[in-house]
Amino acid sequence: MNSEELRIGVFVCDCGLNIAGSVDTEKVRESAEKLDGVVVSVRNKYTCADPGQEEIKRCIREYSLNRVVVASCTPRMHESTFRNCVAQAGLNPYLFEMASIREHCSWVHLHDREAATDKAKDIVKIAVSRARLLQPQEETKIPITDKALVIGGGVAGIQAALDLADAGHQVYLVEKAASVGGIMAQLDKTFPTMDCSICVLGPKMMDVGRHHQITLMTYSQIEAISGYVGNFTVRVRKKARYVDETVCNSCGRCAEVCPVVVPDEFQQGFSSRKAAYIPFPQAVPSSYLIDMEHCLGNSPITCGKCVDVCEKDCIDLNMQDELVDIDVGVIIVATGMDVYDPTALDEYGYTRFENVIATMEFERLICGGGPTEGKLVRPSDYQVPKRIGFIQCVGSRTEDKGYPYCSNVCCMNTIKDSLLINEHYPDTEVFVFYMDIRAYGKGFEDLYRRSKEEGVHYIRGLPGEVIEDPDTKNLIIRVENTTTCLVEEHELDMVVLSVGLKPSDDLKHLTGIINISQTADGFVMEAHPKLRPVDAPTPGIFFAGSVEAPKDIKDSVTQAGAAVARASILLNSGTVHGDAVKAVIDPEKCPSCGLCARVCPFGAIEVDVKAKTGARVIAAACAGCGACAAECRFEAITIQHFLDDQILAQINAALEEEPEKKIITFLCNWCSYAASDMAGISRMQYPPNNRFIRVMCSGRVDEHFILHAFKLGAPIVLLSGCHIGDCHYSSANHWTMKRADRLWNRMEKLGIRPERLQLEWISAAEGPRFAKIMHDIEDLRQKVTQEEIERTKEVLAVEKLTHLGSIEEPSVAS
Amino acid sequence: MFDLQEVINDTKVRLCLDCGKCTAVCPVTRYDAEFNPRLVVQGALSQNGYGPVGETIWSCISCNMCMERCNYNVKFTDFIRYLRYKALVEGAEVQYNHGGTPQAIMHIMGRKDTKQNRLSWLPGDIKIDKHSDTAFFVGCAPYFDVLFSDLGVKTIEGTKGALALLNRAQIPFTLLPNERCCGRDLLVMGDIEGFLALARANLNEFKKRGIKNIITSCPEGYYTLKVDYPKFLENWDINVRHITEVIAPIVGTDQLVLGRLNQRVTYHDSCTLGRYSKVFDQPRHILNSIDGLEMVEMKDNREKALCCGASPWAFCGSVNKQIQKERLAQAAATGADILVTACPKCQIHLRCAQKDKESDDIHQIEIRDLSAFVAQSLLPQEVS
Amino acid sequence: MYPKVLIFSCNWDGWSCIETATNSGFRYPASVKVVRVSCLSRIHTGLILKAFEFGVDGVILLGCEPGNCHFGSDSEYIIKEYKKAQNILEMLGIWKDRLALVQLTAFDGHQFVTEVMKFLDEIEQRPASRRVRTAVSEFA
Repeated sequence: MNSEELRIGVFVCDCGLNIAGSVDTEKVRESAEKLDGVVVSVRNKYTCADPGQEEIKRCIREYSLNRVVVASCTPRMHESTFRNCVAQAGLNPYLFEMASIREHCSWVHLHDREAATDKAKDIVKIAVSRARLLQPQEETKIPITDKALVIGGGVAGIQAALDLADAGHQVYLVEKAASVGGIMAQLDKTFPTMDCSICVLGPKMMDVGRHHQITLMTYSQIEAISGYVGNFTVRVRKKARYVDETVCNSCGRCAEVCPVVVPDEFQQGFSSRKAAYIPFPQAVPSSYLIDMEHCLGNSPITCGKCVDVCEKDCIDLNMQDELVDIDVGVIIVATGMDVYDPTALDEYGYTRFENVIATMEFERLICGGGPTEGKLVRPSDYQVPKRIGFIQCVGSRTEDKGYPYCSNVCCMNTIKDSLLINEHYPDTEVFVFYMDIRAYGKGFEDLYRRSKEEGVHYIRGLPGEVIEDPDTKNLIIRVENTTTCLVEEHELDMVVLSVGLKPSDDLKHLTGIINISQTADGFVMEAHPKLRPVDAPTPGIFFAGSVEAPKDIKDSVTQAGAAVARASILLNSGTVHGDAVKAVIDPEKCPSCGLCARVCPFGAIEVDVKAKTGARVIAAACAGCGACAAECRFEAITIQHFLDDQILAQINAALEEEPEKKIITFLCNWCSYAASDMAGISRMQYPPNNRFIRVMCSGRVDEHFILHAFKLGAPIVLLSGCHIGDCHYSSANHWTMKRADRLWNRMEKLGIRPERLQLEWISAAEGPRFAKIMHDIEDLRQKVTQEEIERTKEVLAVEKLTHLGSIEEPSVAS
Repeated sequence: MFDLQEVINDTKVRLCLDCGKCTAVCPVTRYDAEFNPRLVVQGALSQNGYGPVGETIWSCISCNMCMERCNYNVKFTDFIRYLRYKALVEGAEVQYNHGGTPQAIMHIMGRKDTKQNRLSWLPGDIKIDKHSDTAFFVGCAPYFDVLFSDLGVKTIEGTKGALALLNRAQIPFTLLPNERCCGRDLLVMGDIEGFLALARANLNEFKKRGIKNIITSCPEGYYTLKVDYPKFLENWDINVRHITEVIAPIVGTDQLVLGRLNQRVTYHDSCTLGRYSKVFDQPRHILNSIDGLEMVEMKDNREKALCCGASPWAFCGSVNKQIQKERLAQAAATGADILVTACPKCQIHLRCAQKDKESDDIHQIEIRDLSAFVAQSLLPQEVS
Repeated sequence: MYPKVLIFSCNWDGWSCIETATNSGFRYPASVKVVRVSCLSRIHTGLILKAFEFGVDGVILLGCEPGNCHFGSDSEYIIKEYKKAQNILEMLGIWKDRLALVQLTAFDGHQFVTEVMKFLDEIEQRPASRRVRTAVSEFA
């Protein structure tokens, strides 16, 4: 507590007629003067305007004010204005409090001047009671390491790395395969331009390998990530290649003599490679490696032929994995996606019928660098197929086997493939069996039109099954042509399943290491799907490419640029400003139970439950929601600038006079408070019995605040937050819900009607609904008898309100 | 009785992607190009559920092959049942087979005051525990055998086999002298009133005797009692199991030792036990536990099993016969001597196709009931 | 109140008996209705059971004596259906003799009415629903 004398200044605003029209601001000013600690009470016409601000600064100097309260509009509008104002006068901006007597009072009680004025007086009293307990705060400045980590070396990761490097930042690019390139390196041509894929990607790959600002780590995986925005520590495991990539000159002699032959994954298993191999000719780094899983053994007695012929002497069969620790300021996740395996869709015969293949296999067959050097032949007899069918939506748009979403690129990929076939083999007939053709992008519809003009048959209907003729190995497809409503049978030489795309299997591994989460479809969750599409909810982490959702090359590259732009904001500014609303843990009270760490949606609390060293808040990661403070069973956590005492003081002030007429409402800053403002702006009228207490998140509201309100005679308490799933602090409002459940149980046991605590989820747009709730809740209040209130006061007078030391622990949501 | 919007929501027909996979795999469409499941759904949905539907709604044999392929598991058979109900309410005429005898029997059975005399087939050596709260639900086998006596079908052998197996395994059960037909055939035809009469009468019988569990060998009875009754009746809380679910876990243990049969058989998955109820493994496990028995799978088995072309004793005709021919051909192709199935209706319909002894494209493979067949392998027990 | 009875009568010998009875002034109750078919072989179990479903108390199959069929057909068809229907009726708990097969020579109006009245008498004496007999009665 302050030892200095409190000198509070109150500034009541007329706001022209906006406030003065329905509230007697002079009376409000007068009543404020009488409050404890208030040394001056002033009334302005327009406090936010220059003259008004000047007056505040003048008073601060003249009256040596050390707390300022402005009673005017909503803090969501002018809090920062006035904070700057008082800061200019030399006062710490966090010693400023704002009371909303416009959106919360004058605009919503237009026709009852007396009641509105009384409520405005109360609002000022509540604000002053908080102001008394405000402390000066310093905003944290976190330095940012000017280095970036890009996880994933597909086209998105490559583009992001290049952009960051060209912008002058140091970049680590970590790729789990032995070469960068990803899926794009395996494609033949790209749509809609029909560019050769590896030809356009190759130069970028080389740039990434050469760039002096990029440290390329291939054949590497992320082991661990710790830290927070601007200060991440990453441990990378560089898997042993058994070849020194800086020395290897790709002569290929080792591969020539290697006796082990295995299927070549890059060629989708159609051809083979040796255990000593280079992933593909254009690989970056251009170095061979040894596949130790299939190598005969790393002892010279077993084989060692490769070592013998290596002219550069760069094969070391005893190489070990290397662990590298790096420090970075930002992380861009670009780990890409996987391709759906259609084996489960048994009716299409994939793996049972030789001539049924999937998308990537087709790409390799038709690619000049592929196993057949671009000659499109069918697997059973190496003949060029005369009739090829593409089946769309395999594993997409289904609840059955596969994924419910549309995989975005398969329609265009098939259209592109159809044109490739037509180009190389004009005599081959192509059939495309589809549900919808999605050709939404630039140049896409053109390509579709070209494909139709070239004579590709588009049949609207998906085959029920594929049957193989055991003699010819041809495939027979029965499909309903839904346009003609007739069932057709087609005999085809080859069938290509246009498979969908799915989240990368590696994502599970990554979500365990870094604080990113997945949406219901398994791809990563962005901070906001519309307004922050490349930011992760955790600060300092960004997404690029198809890790976020299936997309084509253009969108991947675009997104990479966007992620780099967002990351650059941090890297260029050099520091990150955290606002002062942070959790603070008292180490003396903390028994290291670990509950706060589990509850935090941002992983901003570290605790060693075994070592019992006390929980520690990582200030940079802390968003200030307050869920930890409310959940802590040992009263060891509080939130700066939203201390327990400050909130309790507001409750005390609100219920000092005629408590039975007052409804205490907790509004979360982002949704519910915004809704109340929206109701005010729309001039929706409602009864004046509510007293609002602003918190940053509904998760901040501790059970004992609510019980304290009941103890002081409140008839009703309303707890309001964002809709589940929309919480500004990710999942903090789940704890609000659980807490409400616990409280209802407790109230029932104490003989307090649970309906007296109301829980509402109100979104920022729901102004009218907010007003309706205000009406409904006043109806509820009128049904609460004085008897009930008195009985409650008696019961709670002897009840322990805090949950100090209580054993019952909530189950933690995963 | 049915609210159109509720039916649309429940069957999820609005989710139909119009892909046509259902039509492509439908066995009826194969032989009757006019029947088009996708068009039935889309046509009905046009004009908000009141679109033209036509005569083809009666052609569906409810085999659920469409639902097996559907991306969104649209409940086609439930939807067509609703369309049939609506058509009947509006006065559509039904083409009954067998003179409408089965339906007349079911309607008479559905009367509350009907007191049947249906247990005369019961062999004297079957032990029954009057006090057991488990009932063995016989179904329509006694009636079928009279009605289809010229097919030489004795579906009651299946029942007797099942009871013999239960006796041998010392699983107690009682028999209900006045149980009714489960009502599935009326339900599928859209005759909901007729179905409800039977269902309510059955519920009454079960409750009167305090029945808590039901075992049955008829797949249609099994599915109807287990899945449809809870949907239509308020107080249904009886546990329903198929005989194979009861027998499969204990076969080969001391509780139930099977003997030896040197035969080559193929197993036909009936639609209601297979695709509807997903009971594929248990019958196979039981057959594989018989020494000397060679079990060969037909080309289309398990989830892909071809329907036997069964009808609800109405609108049965040449299309059904074609489907039966196809299935019998698949059975013949396995080289098996016997086709074993758990469903009496499959038996009857396949045998009906086999009545034609002249055509050389209808295979005269022997058809046996699963429980009867398995019970045959039981070694005679020593009298203790 | 006489029981409701439906007579399926063949068009030839059977119908001639009914006509003769009518012309001769022999009476039988109005609750007995007649459905005329060209030959009793037309009647199958379904039609018989349908009549019972509609609520008749009895059904008479009226036709020719063996060997006299107008179409040269045998009575084996109707006898088969008759036995089948009786079997099913019995299982349904309906007294099987509520279905009667009456084979008469042509124009025997007197015998026709005698048979009808005897039939009505017999079924009137039966209770509406029968208690289940046989070894299974211990479950009832």
